[in-house]
Amino acid sequence: MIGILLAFIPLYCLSIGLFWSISCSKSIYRKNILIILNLIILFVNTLNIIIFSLFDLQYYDFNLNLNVGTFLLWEIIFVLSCIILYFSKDEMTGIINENLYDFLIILIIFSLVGASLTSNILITVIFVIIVYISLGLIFYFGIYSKPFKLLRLFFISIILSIIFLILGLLLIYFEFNSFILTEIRNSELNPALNLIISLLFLFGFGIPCGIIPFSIYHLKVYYHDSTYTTLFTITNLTFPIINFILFKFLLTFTYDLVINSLIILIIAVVGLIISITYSLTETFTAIDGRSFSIKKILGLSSNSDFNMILLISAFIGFLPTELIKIEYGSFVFLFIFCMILVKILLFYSLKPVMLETLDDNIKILGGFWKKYKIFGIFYLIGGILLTIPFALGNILINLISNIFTESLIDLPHISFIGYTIWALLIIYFIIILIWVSITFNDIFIGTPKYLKNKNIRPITKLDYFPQILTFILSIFLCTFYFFNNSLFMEIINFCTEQFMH
Amino acid sequence: MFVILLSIFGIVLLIIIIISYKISKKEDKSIITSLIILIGSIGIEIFIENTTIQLLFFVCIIILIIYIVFFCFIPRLFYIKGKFLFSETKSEIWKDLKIDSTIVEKQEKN
Repeated sequence: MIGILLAFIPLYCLSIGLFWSISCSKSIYRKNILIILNLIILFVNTLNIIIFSLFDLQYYDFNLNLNVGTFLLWEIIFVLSCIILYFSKDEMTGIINENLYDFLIILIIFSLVGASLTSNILITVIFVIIVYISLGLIFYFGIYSKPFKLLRLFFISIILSIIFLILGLLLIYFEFNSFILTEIRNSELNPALNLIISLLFLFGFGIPCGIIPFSIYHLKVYYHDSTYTTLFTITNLTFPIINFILFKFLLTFTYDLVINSLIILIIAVVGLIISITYSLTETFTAIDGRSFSIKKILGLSSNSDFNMILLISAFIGFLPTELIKIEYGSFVFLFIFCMILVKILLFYSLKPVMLETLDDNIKILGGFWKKYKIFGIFYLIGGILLTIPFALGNILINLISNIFTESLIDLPHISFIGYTIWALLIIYFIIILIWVSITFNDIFIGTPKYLKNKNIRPITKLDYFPQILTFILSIFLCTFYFFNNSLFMEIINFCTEQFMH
Repeated sequence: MFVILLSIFGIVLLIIIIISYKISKKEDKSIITSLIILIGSIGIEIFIENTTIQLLFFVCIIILIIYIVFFCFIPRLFYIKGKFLFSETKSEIWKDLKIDSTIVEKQEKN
């Protein structure tokens, strides 16, 4: 009982944070207390992980899904939220309606935590709707006022996604008379209905995150005109967590049928090609009007991450045995985690740009290497972590090749699709390396032409902490994998199984 | 033990809600009230086991979210002086909001 009570402390502290952020008008007090509250939550959650894994505790009553997997996901959310709150201290202090902005950020964190807490589809959908609407609203905060019409397409995509989610919920209600995932998993489902429900949830969760038919077209303005903090919130916090939730949903509905996996595979490939093309166009040319924006490049690359994760997770439906499916699920789990680590490094390294100027055009930026060498080094490390041997990308390629050679050797048709995905993954890593190297050269080495901010805050030792932590975590993962492969996989498999419950 | 701890938590949360309601600005009070109702309804929804009642609660929560967005956030975001945004679509408020590009303004302010 005490364990369950401990599990509720993060949610309880977040509710306190919500009320505190809306009512406290003094910005320094508010921000500092929110950061402290977040650190307390992080500590309690780490304690929860230790207690629940040591005593093998699980709790599934009252639509709740309390286990180590859920707490691990919360840990990712809380680490990211600490970085966001620290990031917003420099960028969003002194803006109009500042307390409302902090409130919306905490509301997004609270909703993401809530969405991953429950196994009830209805409650998850409510939280996801709150997240999407809050993301639309936080765009309008910043130093400059923005017209409402800027995000018209983004709001249309949200309305469409809400309609899809509600339709999916109604179909589930009439078919199963239950919204709990574990109950639905155990019952028989008509294949045609399975396909319809899968697609409704895929579009419902995925459209605002950049899958076709909208792809990245509703997000271009969002990326270009939002602040770095807002961009970090949508791309690094929301998209990966929605990825986790979507994967859990699709595991229940879609991945039992090959045809469903094939359709999702095609949707993901088209989305991936569009987002990669746009991120490269943004890096090299000025075709798309306001081009060369570093915020847009990072945002578009996170859309390609979303589609890539969808693509590799869709392949689970083709795999022959349950054991390999679990192993592959762990690979997807690890892939999302590695992408979060890489994106933290890349994003956080742009803090000096955020402090020094309001410009985001990479052709205007430049000369940051002299003053901010450490940030430059971490930016490069973020890019090459996915390509050099004994690094994160190497683990992923190793894992996927192990799974494919073990399972697909006798299945020529499926192995063709599998190896195509493998090739796409390698190309995808190389493309990341290309745009990281180009933007690194422009931002850190090139000649500066940008207008400087008048009051620049000097960088303190605390500013390096998130990068160092992420870097150490990446190195730890790599060394752990290469020195004790079996134990590493055992832990990852355990976490994935717990999370997918 | 469990009940005692739970009631202490509840009392502390209640005190924080009352304090935050007292010290918040006049225009934020409606957000706090709606938030209490929203969190409360989602909390109740988690403990309901009947799916039909859950669905009915879902409809109520969606209506509540629409209310919060249109009547609390949008007016606050676009500075409407307490009036609802869409009743004055063609008024001066909209003219003020129409800015061709944020970049031009960025350059000027710099």
